[in-house]
Amino acid sequence: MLNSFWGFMFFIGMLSGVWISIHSNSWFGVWAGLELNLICFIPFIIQGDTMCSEPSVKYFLVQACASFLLFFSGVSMVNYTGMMKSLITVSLLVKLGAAPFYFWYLWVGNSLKWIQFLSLSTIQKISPLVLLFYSGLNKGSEVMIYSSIIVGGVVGGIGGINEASLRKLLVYSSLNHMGWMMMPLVVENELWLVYFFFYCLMLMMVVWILYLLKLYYLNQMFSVSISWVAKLTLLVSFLSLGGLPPLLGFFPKFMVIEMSSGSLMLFSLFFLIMSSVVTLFYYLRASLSVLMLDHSKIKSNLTFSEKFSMILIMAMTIIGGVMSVLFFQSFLQ
Amino acid sequence: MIYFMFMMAFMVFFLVFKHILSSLISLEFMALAMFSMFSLSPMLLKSEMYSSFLFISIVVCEAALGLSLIILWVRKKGNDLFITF
Repeated sequence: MLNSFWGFMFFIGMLSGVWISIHSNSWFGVWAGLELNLICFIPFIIQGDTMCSEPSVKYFLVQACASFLLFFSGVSMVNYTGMMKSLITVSLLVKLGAAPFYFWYLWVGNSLKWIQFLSLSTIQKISPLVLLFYSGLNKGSEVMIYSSIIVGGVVGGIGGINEASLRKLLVYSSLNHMGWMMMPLVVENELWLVYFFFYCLMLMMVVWILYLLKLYYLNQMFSVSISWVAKLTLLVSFLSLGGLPPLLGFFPKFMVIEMSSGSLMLFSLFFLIMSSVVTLFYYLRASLSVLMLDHSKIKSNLTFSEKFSMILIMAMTIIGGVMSVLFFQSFLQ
Repeated sequence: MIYFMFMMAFMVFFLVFKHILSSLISLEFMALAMFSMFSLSPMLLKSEMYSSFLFISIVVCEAALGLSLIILWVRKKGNDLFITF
């Protein structure tokens, strides 16, 4: 997608929109950055699949409405108390695709190619999360965010059980991870950024493998024409996304548990941990073929760059998981 | 009064169930409510009102994008209804 000149320009426009909305002092700059992000993301969606109109129209309608709502409530309701301020939180949750406003994210995410799906899940989430953190308006109206955390965790866990499309599975997993990310965000701890960075890294590894193998549905994963090296790497990446130690994905979850245990957030933490185990179920079901089928007589033919990608991904998950404990040991105290 | 206008526009956006063009029109209605808010409040406070121009220029870009998306939808599906049978 970065092949052509205009693809590159739209990508730069997306990042500029995120940058502008993060670094602005007034609600006007915030809204302008969000609009620039939206205007540059729509052609980015269309580049992948030239005649796909449905996801772009749905995405455009939802995001335009939410950014108008954000601007209006930010300008006019910021001086009111608790209940009105939750309208700002509501509009930011709509832009994120967090619970209970995740239905557009399911529809749009199911219709995109992998690169656009990855940028929808990582880049488009940066500015609403930063705005949720910066607005600091969660003091009086934490009910909205706590309900989003609990509902998001549980729906992300249970909703993915009956799904056959890999993109929908990753949407439900991102719902679950949004719940985990908003736990430190509510108490204004910077840990949510660490979690977001690790989540982007893990999701990029999973989507990279699926993009190389061109897999979009669950039944494609059981085919024997895919080499077992790729399936094994996918298994390790999925387990890391589910949060198994000593892989990379365990560490941010452990930090959130460490931060919130011993406080009043134990209730929502319970729901998050339980639903996280359920997400691990559907990750394992997706990567079941390498665990169950016999690949010993099947030759694996991967190109050199694909082999390099697999080795890199395995190294990042396994070694990264161990190294991150060593690096952040001071942070754990 | 402008709160009422914006909230009505927001409600109309949700109650649309047939044509996509109606959703776009309600988006423009929301933008119009905000534009009137940006034009009227500095006038009442007797300060400058340049922010309405900035606002309306970005809204126009977004509306043009919305229209071109509807054209893409119509080229693929033949009409601008949400659900076709």
